[in-house]
Amino acid sequence: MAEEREKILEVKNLSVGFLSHGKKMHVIRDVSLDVYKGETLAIVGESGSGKSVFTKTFTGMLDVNGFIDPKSSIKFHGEEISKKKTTKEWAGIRGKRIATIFQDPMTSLNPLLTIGYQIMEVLRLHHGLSKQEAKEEAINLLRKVRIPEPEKRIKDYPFQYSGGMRQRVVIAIALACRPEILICDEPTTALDVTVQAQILQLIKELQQEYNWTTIFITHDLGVVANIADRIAVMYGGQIVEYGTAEDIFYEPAHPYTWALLSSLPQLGSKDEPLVYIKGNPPSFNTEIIGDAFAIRNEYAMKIDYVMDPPMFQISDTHFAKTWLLDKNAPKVEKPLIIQNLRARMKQAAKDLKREVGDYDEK
Amino acid sequence: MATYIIGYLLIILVVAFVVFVELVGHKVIFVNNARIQTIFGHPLLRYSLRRIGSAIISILLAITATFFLIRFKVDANGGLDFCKKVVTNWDKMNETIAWAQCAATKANLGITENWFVDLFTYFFNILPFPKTICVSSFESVVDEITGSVQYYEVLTGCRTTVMYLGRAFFITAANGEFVTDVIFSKMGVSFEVGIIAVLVEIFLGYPMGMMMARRKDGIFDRIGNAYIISIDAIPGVAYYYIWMVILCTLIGLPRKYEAGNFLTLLAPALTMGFTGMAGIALWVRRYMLDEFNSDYVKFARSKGLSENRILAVHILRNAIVPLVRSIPAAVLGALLGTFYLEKIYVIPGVGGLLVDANDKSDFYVLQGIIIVSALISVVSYLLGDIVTAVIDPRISFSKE
Repeated sequence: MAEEREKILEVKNLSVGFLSHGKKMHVIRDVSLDVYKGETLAIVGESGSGKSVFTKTFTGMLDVNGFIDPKSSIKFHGEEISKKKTTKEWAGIRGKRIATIFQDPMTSLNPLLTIGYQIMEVLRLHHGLSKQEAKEEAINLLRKVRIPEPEKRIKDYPFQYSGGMRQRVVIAIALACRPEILICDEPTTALDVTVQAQILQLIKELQQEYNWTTIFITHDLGVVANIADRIAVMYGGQIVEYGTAEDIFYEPAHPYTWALLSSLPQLGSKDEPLVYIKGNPPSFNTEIIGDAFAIRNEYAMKIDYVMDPPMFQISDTHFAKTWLLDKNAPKVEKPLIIQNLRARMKQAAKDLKREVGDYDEK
Repeated sequence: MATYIIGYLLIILVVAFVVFVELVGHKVIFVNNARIQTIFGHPLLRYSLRRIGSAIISILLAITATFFLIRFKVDANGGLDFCKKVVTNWDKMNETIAWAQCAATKANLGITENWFVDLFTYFFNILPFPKTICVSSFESVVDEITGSVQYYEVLTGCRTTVMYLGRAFFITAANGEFVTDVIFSKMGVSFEVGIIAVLVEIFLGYPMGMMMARRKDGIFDRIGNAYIISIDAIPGVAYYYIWMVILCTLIGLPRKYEAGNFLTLLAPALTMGFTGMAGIALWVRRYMLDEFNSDYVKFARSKGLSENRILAVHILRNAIVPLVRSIPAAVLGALLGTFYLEKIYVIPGVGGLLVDANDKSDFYVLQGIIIVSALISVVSYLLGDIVTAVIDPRISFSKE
């Protein structure tokens, strides 16, 4: 089914490195992924797995010492964009057709300029509107992201807003460009839980209205479950498993995905200790040989330390990069929590309802 | 007479203004006109008035402290040290006559036995309201037959003035001149040089810092850093001499100051400007580099804005917020001059005056310079605060 949809972004064999103290470090290692028009793709992984760097290459926002391997290819609507370098070359794509929302709304806005100015700046640049037109459109956008009394608030400065309000403004700026792809780089991490839900809901609704493609970076699987159509799991600069949300939550195949799901605190029960992934993510200072996850993986086999596994296809939509899927691999039991995930989720939902109910009665 | 009327009218206006602002601010008076309410109730205005109020108190305290220090010096050792200094040929003179001359000089200066009476007379004289000051000079004549000393008071003239800072007797070529006249004429000279220097500092220092930040570690950045470090490392006086050699000996600019000749201002102004520019460039570069890495600059870049626009609109403005505060201080500080610079280029400015007055115990001049420089620093910090508030909307001066 996915194959019939239009590919908006095709990433092939992407490798990204950084030059640090005269040494090259490869932090994205040979990643291929297609993004389809109109979907919500979530990229999950722990800190340092390369999620942000991966998406930064779509808008040429790598740091100065970063470089894309010449063999890599990123095609946006069939146009090769991985070779673009200067701001001039990126004109028309960055900000206009691919927009990004960053993690911390508290610092994403310029503190000395009004909210209105920062929105109008984009409108005037990308759509060539006059000052008056831009102002009207900015008010419209603020209304869209549900800022009350936008006519008055357009003259406000960011410091007059709370974190949630600022993230709404950031979204309004992203909206202003009417992008085809919206990259959300952990947009709710810095917000508290209730505001998180509101912002997620807002992004979801606006996506339905504007019909853009969302690439959602997060380390929170709870957030992902809420909004993602497809999920890609990153580890050590590689995508280790990707598939539909159903695939990843109910039929996970990679031990790292198992570990991630097992460590979700929402799914633990009170009598079991909280599961966590032992060890640290790999360092890129030395070259990684074999499977990057092997040293932390209790299911690791000898071959994991020697050879990098290929991507195995499990179904039309579901792929995983682990030797466990090789026909010679022994059959292993998934962790207990994953085996009855569906039942656990139902239980968790029921518990939550009961707690809320108790609270209401009080 | 006209001075009196205008002076008192001004004082009444100022007092009425301050009282009105405070009353509006404390919501004792309600004004129906919204515009008047916002102007007079503006937190910045009340903040400024309070700052001026507390500044006046601290200036008065500073005056009191220096006044007593100076008087302590005058009366030390039974007044002998002071008298020896102010009476020429003390050792060769008859002791009675010498003491009589010293007493006459003290009378000229307005020094009595009572410190507190003198202090309050001084306070009264410096309060800014119009008053007529009559100056007279005392001369001592010794009756050769009886050996007694008689004083003659000769009235030399009266003058209406707003602020009377005393008279100068001992500094070079000041024969009982009003201290205000001495200071203001010297200030004019210092300012001529200083303001050109400040302009050079700002108009070269800011672009230099910007260019260094824009291409960090580039060739311009390296040269600039070398210059900044060398200025920091070499003592100021040595640096002034280096620039003097370059500007005067090598390029051939005139070294000695002449009143009314613009060309003679160039060498000292450039010496000071080129030195001060390094400090400004250092901070502009540093603050701009901080901004380059800030999240909103990254976000601005991801919006697709051009590098020039990001630099001009998003980086520069934020980077100069902490820097503009010092601009009024630099401009007003130009009034006070620098001693070494004035010495090298033979400029008759305030820097030299201060040292001269201190050497010769011309303490009303000393006191005058202290008051003027205190006023200048108070005003320049207040202006700095206001300028910062104008460009940074986050700063508000209300307590809420």
